[in-house]
Amino acid sequence: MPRNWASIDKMKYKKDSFAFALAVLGLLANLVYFFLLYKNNHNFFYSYLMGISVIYNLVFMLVVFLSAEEVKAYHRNFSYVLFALSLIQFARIFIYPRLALEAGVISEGINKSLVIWLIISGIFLLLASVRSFWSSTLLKRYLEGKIKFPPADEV
Amino acid sequence: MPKVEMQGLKKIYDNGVEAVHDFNLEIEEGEFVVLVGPSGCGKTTTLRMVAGLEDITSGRLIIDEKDVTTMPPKDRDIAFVFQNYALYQHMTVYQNMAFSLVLRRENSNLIHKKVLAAAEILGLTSHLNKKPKQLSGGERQRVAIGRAIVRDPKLFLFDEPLSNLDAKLRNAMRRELLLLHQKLQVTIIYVTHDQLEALTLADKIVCMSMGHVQQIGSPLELYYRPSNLFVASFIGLPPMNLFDVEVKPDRISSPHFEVPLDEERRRLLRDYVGKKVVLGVRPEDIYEHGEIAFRVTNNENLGQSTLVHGFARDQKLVCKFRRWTNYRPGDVIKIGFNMNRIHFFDKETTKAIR
Repeated sequence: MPRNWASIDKMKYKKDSFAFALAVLGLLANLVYFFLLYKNNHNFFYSYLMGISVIYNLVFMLVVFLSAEEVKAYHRNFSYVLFALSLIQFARIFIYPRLALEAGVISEGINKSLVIWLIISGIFLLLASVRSFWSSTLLKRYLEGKIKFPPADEV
Repeated sequence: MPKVEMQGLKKIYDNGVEAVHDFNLEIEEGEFVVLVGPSGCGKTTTLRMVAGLEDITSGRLIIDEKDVTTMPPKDRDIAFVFQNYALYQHMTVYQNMAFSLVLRRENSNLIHKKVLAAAEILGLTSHLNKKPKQLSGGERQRVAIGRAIVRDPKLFLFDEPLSNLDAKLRNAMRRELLLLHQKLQVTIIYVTHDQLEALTLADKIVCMSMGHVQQIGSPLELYYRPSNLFVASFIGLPPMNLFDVEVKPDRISSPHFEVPLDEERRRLLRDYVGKKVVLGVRPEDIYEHGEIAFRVTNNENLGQSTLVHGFARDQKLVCKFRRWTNYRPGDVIKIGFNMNRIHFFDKETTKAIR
């Protein structure tokens, strides 16, 4: 709950840059994961899986970016999208790096760094989701008149 | 102590052009001062010197008892409103207005309150989320003014802020500026070449020509007691009628007409008997049914009054009658001058004879 009227009223005129920044950091962490994956996985070349993986990662990052733009404008539904994307990042730990490690395609060290970057990405997306949900809900309730402040506090 | 003191300000550019000569002015707290004059007279240069955008060649500039002659612009705590608004096109109105405070790293809640208060004063509350390109010219200018207001500066400088607006909007904005000044009671220096703006807005007018101050005074003083021929011809719309006359002991005469002098004017002109002076008479100080024959060339009906152009023999004159007239070109009427309102100027010095 904001401490005073101005801190919530200014949300009408300012974008949620913090939620946007968190989501973009999640995107960048995924980008690092993406680069590490292709840099260290030499067995991946010339496989059809490579194409699917590249397309998946590009679509993922596009959705993250578009969601980041939407949460910047306090669109609450996209905080749910970011939440889902963060869950996907956590889930991916148990799919590709794990399976690749078990198949001996990647080394233990590379697996560890891939997992770390996925966790970082997931955490940022989760934080962006929580932040945008909080701020958009707050603004919505304020605009609906459900949050009131003493008149003396207002301009 | 005056709020602003300009002592002998002079500006000489690198190419040797002397734009402002020995400019002296004192401005009191809350005063609305207008610098007026034709293009190239040095009024904007003077304003830019006050803002710190132009170096002062010589002289002193004192604001709030502090010599700021060499102080950088950012430290002078002055707000400048430009003719072309100078808004950031990629920012919203809110962001434009808040920008200077953000740069100062002020508390964001405080910034918000200041921006909303300024927007309320200027009627911009409903436009705060818009970009400048979505606004009309008048609204953009209000944003520029709002950006100045939120800073709460020591001094406001306006450089022809209404020049880019159409006539109707200019009138409306002029009234708004006047109300704003009454409400905020801030010190303003305003530059314009529009004498109507100068007369309606100013507490004090500084009339300039060729870099020289011609007269400083209230709008009424400049209008009714011009100190020289330049001020007499510049202030007033249509301008004052000016023509050479010869002073005789009991009258003034020209090849076109003769006008008898009352006792007061005879005393005034006693040193000029036998010499030529310049007679000035404002169009509204000419009345119908006088003694001077006047041949009408055309009428300009303005609604509540009519401007009648024509000749008194060969002397071109403009008269302003407070009624709708239907004189035809070629009509000859009789006119007279309101002797209490005529002005005399020394032909050599161009100064008013008082």
